[in-house]
Amino acid sequence: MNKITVALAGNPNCGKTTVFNMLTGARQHVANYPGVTVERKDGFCVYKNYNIRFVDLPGTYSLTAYSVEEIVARNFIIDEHPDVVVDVIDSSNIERNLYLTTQLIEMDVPLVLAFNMSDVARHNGLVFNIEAMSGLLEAEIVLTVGSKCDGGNELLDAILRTVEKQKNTRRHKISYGSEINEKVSQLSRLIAKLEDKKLKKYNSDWLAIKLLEQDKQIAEKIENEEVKLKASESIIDVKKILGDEPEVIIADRRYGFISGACQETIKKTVEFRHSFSDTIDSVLTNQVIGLPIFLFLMFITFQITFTLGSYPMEWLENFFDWLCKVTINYWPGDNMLWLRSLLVEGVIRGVGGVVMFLPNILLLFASIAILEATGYMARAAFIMDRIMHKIGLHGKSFIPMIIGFGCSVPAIMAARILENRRNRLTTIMVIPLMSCGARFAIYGLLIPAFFQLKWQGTMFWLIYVIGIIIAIICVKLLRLTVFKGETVPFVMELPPYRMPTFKALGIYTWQRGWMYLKKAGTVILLVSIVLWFAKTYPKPAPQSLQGFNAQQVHEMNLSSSVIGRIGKAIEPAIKPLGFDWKIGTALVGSIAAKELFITQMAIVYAVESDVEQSHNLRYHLQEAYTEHRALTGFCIMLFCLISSPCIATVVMTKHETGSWGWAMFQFFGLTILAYIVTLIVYQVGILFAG
Amino acid sequence: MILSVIIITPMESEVLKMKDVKSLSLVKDGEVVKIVSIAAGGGLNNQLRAMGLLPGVEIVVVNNRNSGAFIVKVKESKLVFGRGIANKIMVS
Repeated sequence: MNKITVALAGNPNCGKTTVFNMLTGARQHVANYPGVTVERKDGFCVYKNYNIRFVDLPGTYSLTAYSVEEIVARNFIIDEHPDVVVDVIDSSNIERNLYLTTQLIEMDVPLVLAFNMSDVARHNGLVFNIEAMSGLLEAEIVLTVGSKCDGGNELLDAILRTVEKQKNTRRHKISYGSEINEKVSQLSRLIAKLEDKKLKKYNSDWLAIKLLEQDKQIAEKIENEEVKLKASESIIDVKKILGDEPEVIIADRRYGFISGACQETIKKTVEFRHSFSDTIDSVLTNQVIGLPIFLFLMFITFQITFTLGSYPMEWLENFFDWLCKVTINYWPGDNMLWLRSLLVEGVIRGVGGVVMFLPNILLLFASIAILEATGYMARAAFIMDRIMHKIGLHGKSFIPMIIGFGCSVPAIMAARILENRRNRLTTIMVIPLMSCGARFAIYGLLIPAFFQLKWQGTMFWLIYVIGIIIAIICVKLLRLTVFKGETVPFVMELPPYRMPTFKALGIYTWQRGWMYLKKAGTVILLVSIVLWFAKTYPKPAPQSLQGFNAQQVHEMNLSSSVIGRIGKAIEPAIKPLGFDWKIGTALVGSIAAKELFITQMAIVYAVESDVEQSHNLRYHLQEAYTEHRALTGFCIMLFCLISSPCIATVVMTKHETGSWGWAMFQFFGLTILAYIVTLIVYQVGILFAG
Repeated sequence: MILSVIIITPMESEVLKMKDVKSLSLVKDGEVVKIVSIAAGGGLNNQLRAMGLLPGVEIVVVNNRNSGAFIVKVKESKLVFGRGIANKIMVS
């Protein structure tokens, strides 16, 4: 078996993923490129005595240093020397797509071109003279239709032929005009003479072109003064003689090369005027009805995720309940009861609480996959951009934020749809301010307990709105401080509307689900166990518990545990917020999961029955907090809303940002913010209440 | 009241004097125009070119709303960009 690596390059929306899926099936592995949050997909395939590893490079329009994606794509090609690069081309939009090809030609890599969506091209009346074109571009060309799995074997054969064939030097080079051609060869000769080991992996012509293009990343790699001087002289010369920046002229010449190649080899048999996509767009991006349609689709997505998802979620919940019961009932006698408690309350409840959300995650990502694959997502960004732009975010940021009202964890994962890192980080940081389902449960407990009936609806509304307002303020602040910098000018393609394939949807959804499950199985399990210990130990001395009833024992156990002690220790700090140690304990406990706030309060207030727990708990709360009742209730909700997101969110933020730093920044940043806001509200509140 | 300040540099005023050359942001829906120049900086300029926007290319304005993003059609692709970019593209 020969092992080879094949990289897939191509423009965004060229159907690269469908070609990747066609070649590898579901044998894929998703990870991030080291150090950046750009997704890297590896897939495997065995074909004719070859073991082929396919790497799906990020979709880019060119290989400059404009975006992280472009840098990642070109570094992969340079550093990992794929045996073949397959350039996937949307053959219905060939000239624009060939621009990337010209740059792969400049890199002088073994190249195979997949003219994808060839069915659409044919429908649009394009006829290719493949042989002539292949001769001009000096690469094998294969017609494919990724979505229908057409042309897969032909593409694999072409890849193998290219691997086995001896590499020839190119006969047709791209001509940038005599001025620039000369500068390129002069620079290239100088570079070739250098004894710099770091530059060995680069093609010297390519380096010369990049220097003329004033590519910052490449310029930094050149240490030789002579080359640097020559490069800057050449750039000045070109500007003087040709009157424009060299990179502009180089880009124009590349298009010149393309139109030269296309003129002889493509025939247009039908003049295509108004497309199907344009008709749909006139409705979906309409000034008047575009926004309502978008909001309606968001509503549907939300409903599918959380309403439809609640059924399988309930089954999973029942399953974990059953698992707990089985563990308790079949436990051999009274041996090692601590282990039983650890298994039930720490492991099963902890992990179960996270796995329970798997149906939501799968449904959410299936919905997102549909929105992406049909091409609607780009329109959504366009529609929302006007509003989101005002607060300094990209139009697409709206989608993860909406999801955040259900649960922060999938919302943070959904922020992947944002390409720009600064936008993505800002969005992730404020997502926990969207009141999630677990917070809703807390509001549901507290509002009836602390407020009169006529105010209850308003309070619900108010607390949600406060979250949104704080999020907007935070975005503004973050954009002015931590994520300062020019907003990247917004340029985006609106891909033609397409029918998604089940295979693509299935693979995408499963990959996200699996990523989520892996988290639950590792970090979250560990954290659940730690929190269980903190909640359980140290126990009070057995003799001190004599003569008390079961609930009092419960309470004493809690107050002697690490969490209880922390609750008591922070009492002086949270007193100015109107909280006592009991609330403090519940707040500490709720770091594991927001809804644990209710469970913890139930333990502190010694509520007997589980069934009527919240009713009884409300009664106890009313008894306990008579002074400034409404204010206290409001402050608890405010604190729960803003403060530290739950552990699953923290872990997901770490995973998605690639650093514990951002996760900690979010955790402590929000907690400090919660403290300040609640402090002001309570202190001003009691001032007015007298 | 909204105050808008337009600063015209000498070079731009040259361009403005030329017949029928105007900023893309002034073009109405449905009009077909030809790009004359793009005055964007290095990285963005490359990106716009890579996406098919370069002098000499014909584009159709699909959606030019009074504020917010802008949709144009370039050959077979539809592009969206902010008004800031539209201001930098001169067409005739």
